[in-house]
Amino acid sequence: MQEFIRGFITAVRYVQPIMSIVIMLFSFMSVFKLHRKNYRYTVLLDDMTEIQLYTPESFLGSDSSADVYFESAQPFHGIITATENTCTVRPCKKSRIAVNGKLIKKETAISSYDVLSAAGREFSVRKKTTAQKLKSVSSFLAFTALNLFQILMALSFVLTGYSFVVLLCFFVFMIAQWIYLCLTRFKNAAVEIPVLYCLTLGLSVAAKVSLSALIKQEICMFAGLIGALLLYKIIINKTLFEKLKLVAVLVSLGLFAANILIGNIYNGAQNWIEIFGVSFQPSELIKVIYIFVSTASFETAVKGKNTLYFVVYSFCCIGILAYLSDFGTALVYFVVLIAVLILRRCNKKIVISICSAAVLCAAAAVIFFPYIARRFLSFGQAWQNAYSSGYQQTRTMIAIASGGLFGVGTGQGNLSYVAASDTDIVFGLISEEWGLIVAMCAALCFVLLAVFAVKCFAKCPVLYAIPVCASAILILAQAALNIFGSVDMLPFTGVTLPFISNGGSSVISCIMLIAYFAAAGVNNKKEEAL
Amino acid sequence: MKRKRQTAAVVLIAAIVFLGGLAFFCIRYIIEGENWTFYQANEHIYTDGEMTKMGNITDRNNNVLATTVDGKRVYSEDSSVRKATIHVVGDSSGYISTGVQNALRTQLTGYGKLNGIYTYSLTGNNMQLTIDPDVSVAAMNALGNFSGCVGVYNYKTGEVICMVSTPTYDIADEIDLLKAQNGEYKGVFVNRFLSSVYTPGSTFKMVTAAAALETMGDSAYTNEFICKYGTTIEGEDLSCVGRHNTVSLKRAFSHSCNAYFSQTALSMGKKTMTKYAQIFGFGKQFSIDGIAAATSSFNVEDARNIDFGWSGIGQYTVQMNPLQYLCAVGAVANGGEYAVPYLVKNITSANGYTLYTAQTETERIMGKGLSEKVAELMDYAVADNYGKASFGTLDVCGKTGTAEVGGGSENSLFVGFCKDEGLPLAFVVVVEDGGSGRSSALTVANKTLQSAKYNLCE
Repeated sequence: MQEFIRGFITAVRYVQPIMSIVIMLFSFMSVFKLHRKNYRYTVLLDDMTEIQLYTPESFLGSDSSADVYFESAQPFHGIITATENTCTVRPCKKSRIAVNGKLIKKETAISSYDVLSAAGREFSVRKKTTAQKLKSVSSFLAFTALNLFQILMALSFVLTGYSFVVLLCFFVFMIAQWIYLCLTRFKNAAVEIPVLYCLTLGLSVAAKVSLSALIKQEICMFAGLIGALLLYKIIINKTLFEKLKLVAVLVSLGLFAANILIGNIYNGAQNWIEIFGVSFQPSELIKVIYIFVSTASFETAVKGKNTLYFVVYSFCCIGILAYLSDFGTALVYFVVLIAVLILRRCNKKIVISICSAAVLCAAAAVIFFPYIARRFLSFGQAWQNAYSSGYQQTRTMIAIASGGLFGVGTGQGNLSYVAASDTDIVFGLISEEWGLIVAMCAALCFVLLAVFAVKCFAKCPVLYAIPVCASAILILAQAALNIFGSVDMLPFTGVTLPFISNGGSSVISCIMLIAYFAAAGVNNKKEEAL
Repeated sequence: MKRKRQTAAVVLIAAIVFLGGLAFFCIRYIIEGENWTFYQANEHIYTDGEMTKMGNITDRNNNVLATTVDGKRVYSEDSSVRKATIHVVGDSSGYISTGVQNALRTQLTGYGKLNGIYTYSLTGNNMQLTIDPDVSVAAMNALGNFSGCVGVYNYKTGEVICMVSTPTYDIADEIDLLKAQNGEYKGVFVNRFLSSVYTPGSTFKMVTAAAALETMGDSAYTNEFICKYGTTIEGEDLSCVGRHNTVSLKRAFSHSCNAYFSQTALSMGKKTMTKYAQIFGFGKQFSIDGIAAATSSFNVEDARNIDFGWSGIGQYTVQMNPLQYLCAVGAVANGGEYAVPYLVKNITSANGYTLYTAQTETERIMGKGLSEKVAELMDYAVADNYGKASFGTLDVCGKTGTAEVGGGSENSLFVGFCKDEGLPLAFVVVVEDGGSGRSSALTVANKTLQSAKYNLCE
């Protein structure tokens, strides 16, 4: 029996990395095949000129950046939204657009044969489909590999002496994932499967900590999933999405206020609050709200308005986080802010001035809070301080090198005895026990989300494109700070690794971010086809 | 909005930067992974700073030299074996960097970049060495209180039978850090056989003789010089131990005439001498199983004639390395090609798979004719001067050396080989401050060889 277990564990050692590679390979393939276009929209004007629409949203008007330029129109006259299945037109404020001679007031679906008139000109929007057939990559193989990965993981836990409850927890998780993928769009699970892969690793990490941590983590994952579905329902409704932004701002500021007033200090940062015996990190949940607020409708994005409010709100958040000594999260927020400003096509001068202001603030922090600066600037010297400030980073690197590409096996690692092995240096824990390949595949998941976001950007309305890209940036920034911080390539900030770090608030907020990916990917299929 | 598509590039750039970071980390993993693994805080390998995740190290007769028992590294039961083999085996704290436990730690722990420290049995690999503990103890005892080293190897197969360096210490004794600071352990962590360079003294005459034999042909034997307690080069004296009068090559070699060989070197010229020094391995780095030795040197480019004369008899700045000499003598004994010396006979995993078996490799450095002529000279030196009877039944050929190292000190050297078919051993002995080569080094070599004969030819 003992010999059988050793043989099994040895086999798992090599099969798991192969499964990981299969999962990542097929997920990347389906993401790359995703959102290719085999259609294009053109506007046919009354003087028989044709204008091609390159982006899903285009506007007509007399502004110099207008896609369809009418000399006599308002600067921002109307907006044409042309996605794969639908094409709509809506007039901007105080401008008049007629469809087949009938004035419209709100967003109206149009077909290729409808004649539109605005500012004395007549035109129609035509969709042209090319003969090219788009094959989508089936997620079947990736999903099979994922399931096998999970089963092997659960079995290796049980065979190395962990409780059967671990097996049960993995089983429940798998059932939940089947239900979820059946209910949603199983055929296009390019994002979900890599995220589920990361969550599996998150469960494994929690299982190593304790049974109660595992159960808590799993409950939080389900809570995050429910939260994501709710969020998805809200944001899929464009008007509700825009209206709730102000509410979101107020909720987040309220949470911050609560954090300042009744927050607990833990690990040097005052970022925990406890309500009815449940403790959580408001800064984690506020991330979701921050992304929610970051978005802008096409009109506001095009006019460059609304940006100021967002910048002020961002600085409030970042200031409060710095006040709470949560500098890692503050840095992540700042990166997202800059990305959002670029995504919103904000004036370059404003972006540069904000960046320089931030540099000044950082310089001020270095001068007035030297101990913070020391912690931030001591990276790259972990081996010289292997028994003081570099303790966790050096142990992480030792663990990664000891694990090799395939790991030393479940439960055989030593890094779990080091503080924060399930959160701040979790990359090392995964690498030591299950190998660098598995850990790298997990890191590639974050890249995949970013590629997905870029792919979405060219194909979905700005309202959804900004949050999906902002989420991708947020996840990437957090992953970079966590992974590279733990191996001494960036400051060690204590930011969590998305989906994987053991911790309820973190996993809930990260899963909720997936709602933005889902909303961007769905493309409003429910609406009437052209 | 025409430019909209471009703005998404910010996400793409972020992803590429992230990927770049991952790639950079992978490169660091490849380059620095081994150092990370063998950091003393790694509990996969170390217990309380001592390397314990290693397999057994055994000698050529499969007696244990080092093993791990209950998370502690323990060594041979015999105190004198521990002392005689410590420099080969190495300590568990990493003080002796050339010991196999440190230099070959990856093989012993089973570490690799692919598998990390994982091995199927979760323990390290076993390693059998070619060392004979009894011969090593005999060599150590023969060296007695002198500092020095003895290396013996089979010039046909390449097996290193004995590699002893003194002073040494018993690893079973805790190292007293206070004493260590006072210089108590001075030099004990150095394996002199590998990591030292010495002035070769008269042993270098085999190089000068080889140069003469090959450049001058048979006339080398008839060429004569006059020795009157030495010679004079450009008005400066170069002394000799005796008045050899008119000497030719064979007698000059056996009686170690400084006058003859310095004049021969001068007549050869710097270029030829440098060429033959290189043939004998000067300036080249030798290694055993990847454990690098110190590099010897022969550099006469800027030497004055008198200094060049001194270099011809192994003085001036000439430095030999014992391992280099062992290979050179091995080549002389083995028809011009030496068997590459090795310490590791085989490596097996804990569950019995053979991972590595040593194989004899040879490297030719000189022609068969030349090697035979040099061997004949060394044979004659023993027969004519030191006496074959000194070595009992063993047919030993060799050359002694007495190297002046300044401050009135003289290092005693003896290098050579056994001609016996059943005992093809080459040896290098260095006794620091041992006086003339004939007195101490020769005795040490004899005791070691007798022990080898007793232990290897049963």
